Amino acid sequence: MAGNKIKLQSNDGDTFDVDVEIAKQSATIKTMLEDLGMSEEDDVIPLPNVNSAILKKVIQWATHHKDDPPPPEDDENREKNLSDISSWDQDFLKVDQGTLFELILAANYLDIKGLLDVTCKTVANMIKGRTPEEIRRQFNIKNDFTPQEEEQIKKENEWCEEK
Amino acid sequence: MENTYLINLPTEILHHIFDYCDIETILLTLGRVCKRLHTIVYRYNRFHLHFTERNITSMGHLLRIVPNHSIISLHMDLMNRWYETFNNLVHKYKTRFTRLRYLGIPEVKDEHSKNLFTNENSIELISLEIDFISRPNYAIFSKLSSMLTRLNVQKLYCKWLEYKADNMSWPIPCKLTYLKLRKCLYSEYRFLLQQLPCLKILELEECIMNTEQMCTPSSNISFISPLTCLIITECSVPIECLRSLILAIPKLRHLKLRYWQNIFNSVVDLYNWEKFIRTELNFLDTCEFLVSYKIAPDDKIKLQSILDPFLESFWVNEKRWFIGCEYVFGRSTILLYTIP
Repeated sequence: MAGNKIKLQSNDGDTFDVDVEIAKQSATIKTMLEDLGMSEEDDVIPLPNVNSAILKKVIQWATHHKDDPPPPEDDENREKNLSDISSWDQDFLKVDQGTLFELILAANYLDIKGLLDVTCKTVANMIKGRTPEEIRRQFNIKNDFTPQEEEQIKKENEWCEEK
Repeated sequence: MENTYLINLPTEILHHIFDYCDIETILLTLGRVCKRLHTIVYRYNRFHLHFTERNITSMGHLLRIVPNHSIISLHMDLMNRWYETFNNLVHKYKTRFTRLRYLGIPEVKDEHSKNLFTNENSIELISLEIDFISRPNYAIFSKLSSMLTRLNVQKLYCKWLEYKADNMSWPIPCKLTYLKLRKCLYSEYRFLLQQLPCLKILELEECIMNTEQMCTPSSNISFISPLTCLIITECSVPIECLRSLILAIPKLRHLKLRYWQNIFNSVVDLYNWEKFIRTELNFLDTCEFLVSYKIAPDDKIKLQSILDPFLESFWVNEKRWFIGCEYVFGRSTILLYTIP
């Protein structure tokens, strides 16, 4: 049943023709389509939370992953898939931080589990092995603890850091 | 304005990122970055604890700053000391793991069974992994079985367990939906399925042909198991018997078989699978296999001619299973396998 297409519209007005099967990786769009009944060719699905550049990236990701098996539901076997990001995804996610975080928000809004998982893993990998100060620098975060608060937290955690 | 994307993410997404970090990173690093992250870290409730010989002390201390109900998985990678450590947590520090869903332990011994999981811990495990150091015997299995009853476990990973129907009976009713075992005999496989009426996924390292009496499907043909996934890493059941292996599992969606030994006589056996899958396994979505068979050393066979039947519509269009083929030089062996 190839060839069935729908139109997705970004919040800045661009429309994209996408295969229904590809678009359905988004649980949000899947629900919309099922609630509307199968959409006519002219129907446009507006996506008010996603801009054109990000939507284009999302479609590119979903097209590449269209034949993936559905992700497993259980997360107990988490250890296995901690750092296994496919090389295609790694290249796909070599983007500036703004784009990466917008992709996360889009994946969350569109409910695309695979994309949300891989973007979150990428951020987790940026965090691992760094000190709090390095994380502040990397993500441009201000240290808003007072010196007293900082001292307090340090004391709380002191025990755990003896190795 | 400077962009501070990370801390402006909604809490649920930050928690999703934490799912991929270890407990030290979350508590000791992220919790110290800024006030917002500090608050969000302490609201997180999906911590995974992995005890190892090296971090045993620091993990013990971390447990004091994490609320117990935020811990959902505990892996005791500690060889002999695991029981002592676990017992200390539960009895000395009164840790009540009310939301613990996964537990990994190295083994169960006689002396463990009394105190290990008493009701007052109110542990309701979903998943239990036991990495037995030495192969578990019947006595240990009966301990395990009574543990399963008490804990309501649905998934059991026991990669060293060799199933013996005579001496190992599962709890009744048994709620296991996932089971991973080392070995099961062909003659006992159906019995195993019958004892586990909820089982959806069965992974066997080995399934072994043990009887001379060939392939008469053992008793109770009407029995139907809800199994949807069967994985046998090393299968030595003859092709004629594979049919009866699968007759009781018509709902199968995923099948993975490897035949390292020379069970196959020729590729013709495999061509028959098409008919067999059509008639018996309507729901099968994915099929992965590796089979090998010997040919006469002077046999001049064209690999392409072996593959031709697999280029038919059933394999390529209907099922989208793509088959590869190799000739192993010096061993006169043909390998046939699915391409992922």
